[in-house]
Amino acid sequence: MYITFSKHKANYKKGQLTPFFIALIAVLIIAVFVTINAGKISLFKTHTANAADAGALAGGSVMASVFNTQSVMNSQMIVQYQMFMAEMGVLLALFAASLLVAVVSCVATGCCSCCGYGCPCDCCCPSLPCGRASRVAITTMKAMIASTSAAWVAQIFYFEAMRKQAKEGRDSAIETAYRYSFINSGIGNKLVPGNIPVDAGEIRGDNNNYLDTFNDWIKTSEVTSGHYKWLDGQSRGHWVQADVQTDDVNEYKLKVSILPVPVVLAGFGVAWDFANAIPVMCICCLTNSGAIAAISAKAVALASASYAGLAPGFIVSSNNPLTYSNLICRADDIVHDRKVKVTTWQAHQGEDYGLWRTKYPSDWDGQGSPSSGQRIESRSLVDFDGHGKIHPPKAEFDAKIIAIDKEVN
Amino acid sequence: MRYEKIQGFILISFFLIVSCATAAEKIPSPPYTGKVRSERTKLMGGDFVLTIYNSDLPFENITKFYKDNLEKSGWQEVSFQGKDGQAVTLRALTSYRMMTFYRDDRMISIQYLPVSSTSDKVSFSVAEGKVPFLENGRFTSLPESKEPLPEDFPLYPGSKILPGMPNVTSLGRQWAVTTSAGVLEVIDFYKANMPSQGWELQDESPLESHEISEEDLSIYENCPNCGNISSDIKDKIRGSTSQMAALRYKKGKRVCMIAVIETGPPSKGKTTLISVSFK
Repeated sequence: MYITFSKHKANYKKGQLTPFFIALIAVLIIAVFVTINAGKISLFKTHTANAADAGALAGGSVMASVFNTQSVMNSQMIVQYQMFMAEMGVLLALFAASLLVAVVSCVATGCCSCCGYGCPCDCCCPSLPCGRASRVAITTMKAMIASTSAAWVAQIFYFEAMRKQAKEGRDSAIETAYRYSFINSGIGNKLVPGNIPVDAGEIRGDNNNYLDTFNDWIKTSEVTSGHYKWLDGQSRGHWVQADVQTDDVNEYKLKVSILPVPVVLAGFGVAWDFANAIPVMCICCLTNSGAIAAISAKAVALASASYAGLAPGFIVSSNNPLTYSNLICRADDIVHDRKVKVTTWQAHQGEDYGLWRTKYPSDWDGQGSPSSGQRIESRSLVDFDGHGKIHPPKAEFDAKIIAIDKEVN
Repeated sequence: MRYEKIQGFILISFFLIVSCATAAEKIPSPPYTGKVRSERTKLMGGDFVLTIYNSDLPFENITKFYKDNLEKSGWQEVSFQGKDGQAVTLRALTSYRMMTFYRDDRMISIQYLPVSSTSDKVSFSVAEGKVPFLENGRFTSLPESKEPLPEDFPLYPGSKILPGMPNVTSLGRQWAVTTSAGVLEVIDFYKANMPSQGWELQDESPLESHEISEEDLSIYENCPNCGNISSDIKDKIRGSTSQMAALRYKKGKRVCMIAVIETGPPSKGKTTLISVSFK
């Protein structure tokens, strides 16, 4: 075959393969362009996905931390409530005991015996244990009222501190999500190293193409929703948008006392009234020890009934103003779906290779919002529920990505 | 060397004697029960050790355990004389799940705590301490307040600190003060005078007034441990009003909370109580 070819080679015309090679080179060039384009698309897609994932995870982690703190604060709130109830129980026991002393001393000393005929009512009896013991009961009741009102207010203030922590934490989570989205958007790779010239204008303006300025912006500025534009070394525009969504933390389900605190205090007031009657009974010898025992028992029963009204009763929304009439026992839950959603997109002006500009992503004039054909979009949804619970308090909230892109509604 | 050994021995013996003498009586705790926390508290001038437990047992078994064990050690459950001359325990009288025992000048109060830190356990507290108004079995009045209010806290003019104060509670050191002035007058006084003492206002709860309505009283029906409130008591409670306002100040690491409430026995008119807590 070689010999045959050699013999007839003079008959072949030169350059017959040239069109083939030209076609091949053209195909190769197109393939290179397509590869570059596909590579760019792939790179931008990776960057938007990174931005969405990093933003959502960062925001979710901060929210998990916020909810863990809420859980711990709720434990503290429960402890405060428990301690208050235990202390009130001791005060109630002291109230009952002092009235018991009043009754016993009335029987033992013969309360009325010192008030002889014609003796003024307050001449001698105020020194009797009966009268003094009932005054101790009244003082103890005053202390119970003071303690109840203090605990009532303390729980409200503590809850407000919880709510403030959650609100600030959520703001911080959103801001962190934005920062991490932009840091991971890949935009930093496109910028010119160094800092913006002094006369270059605003950070969001068209002169924004310096890496140090970008880093400063990330560190110090308030990064919020919206699309931001940066220019690269060839003055091509690159737009990045991030949108972070997580529910507000503004509604709690609170477990509150059965009775409103003013009703409890009114009950204590009437018990105080009963105790008030006892010194008069002792001093003026109006009645016998049986009557004092009866009114003491009535006072103790009413005080304890009112105290029982401070036990947890209802779960109510913190948005209902009537909630605060009752003593807050604990937070039962926070109304929140425990999710952080981040949506990011990028749009880039085409890269100019002289003969050819990368066609995708297509050029965009920067006005309004780019169409789906002009931008690359990614979404990420993080759930930060973990094994955490507000009640019973369990500080095990933890963030994880549960859905991406089209899986995210 | 020899003297050092003797000195050491004396010191150890001294500490042992002191700790034995000052230790509160060890109160047995029921089986399947764990201690959650224990704190020293001072109420009406009496020192108490307050311990909170979580238990797997129902509260009825816990009360039975304490009744059996404490009565063996000479403790007696507090009871009142009923109408028919029969003793009625404080437990029965209060209708709330609590029981109180006395021995000499000391008291043990055991009570069910309605909020547990875990959902499947029963929480209860045991408070043991000296009754502040008993001395060698004899009644004495409450001790007058020995600890004055902090110097940088202005006491409302003409007000009176209750005897037995301060209570040392979970809210901090707490003084209860009475005055005949109204809630707003007291609040205005503190708003005007606290900043000059270096206190910075952190929170404020505005004045709230509440008049007990029929609807409020109907909630008693939903209160399982409130017992039956007789109609004459309900009549006394109905229509009674209370006013309340509060301020919270901060100075360095110290927090001062002032709660002012105007309430009191219906027959005596209103009394304003100021609760001042420092933490």
